[in-house]
Amino acid sequence: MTRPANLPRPPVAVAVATPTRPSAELLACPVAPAGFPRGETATMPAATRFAAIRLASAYAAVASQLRRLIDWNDPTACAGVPLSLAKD
Amino acid sequence: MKLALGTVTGHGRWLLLLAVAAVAAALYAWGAEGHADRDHLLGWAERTCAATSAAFPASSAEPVPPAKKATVFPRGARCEAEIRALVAFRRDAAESTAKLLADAIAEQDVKRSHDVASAARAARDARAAANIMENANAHVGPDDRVGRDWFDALNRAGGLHDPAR
Repeated sequence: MTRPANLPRPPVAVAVATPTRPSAELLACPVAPAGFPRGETATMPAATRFAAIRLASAYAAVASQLRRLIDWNDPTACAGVPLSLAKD
Repeated sequence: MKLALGTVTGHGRWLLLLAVAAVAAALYAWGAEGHADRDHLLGWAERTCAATSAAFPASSAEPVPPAKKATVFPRGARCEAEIRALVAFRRDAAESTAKLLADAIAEQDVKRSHDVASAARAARDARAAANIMENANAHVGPDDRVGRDWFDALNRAGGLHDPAR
């Protein structure tokens, strides 16, 4: 049967993809800070050295995880930025 | 006909009358059943159409310019169109939902495989940096003096860039 004129339009299907993208601020690529100066020497007890190593390693791990999280949500957000901050 | 009836005599007339009466009774019963069926179907149509919010009886709609004549809908036309629209809606909604789900699953798969590769690369780099750091730390003497190699290793382990650059 053809549709008689003047009938209401058939309803539009309601399957809608909900936006789940985080805000641009949350997707900003992490920028590594400048490290320790290379030309200096210092006297550092073992406990202090290990604390510095722990802090540096933890920063690298958190930055790497954040980078993966950003890539998961928007692969284009960090395009061109090297994946690993630990790499030269 | 007259000749045919004329040949029927005596009990024959009664038998003929009986046969005619039987046929009439059967026709009457058939008609009554038809009426009942029709009423039942009409009731069903009214109830079904009421559920779709498009009434079963014939109706007309105001003319939409530039048309000047009102549109007349025969009995059940609006209702049938409404039912067809509802069926199409259910089909389209199911299709769209299935497509959304399939797309989401495919996207998730792509993301997961990308992330597994990224995680492996990051772990490899972190391991290499940790090795270099351990090495540099092992070379620190009993005077606890640290120099360029140690700071380089520390910057590398933290993913920090060279401040001179």
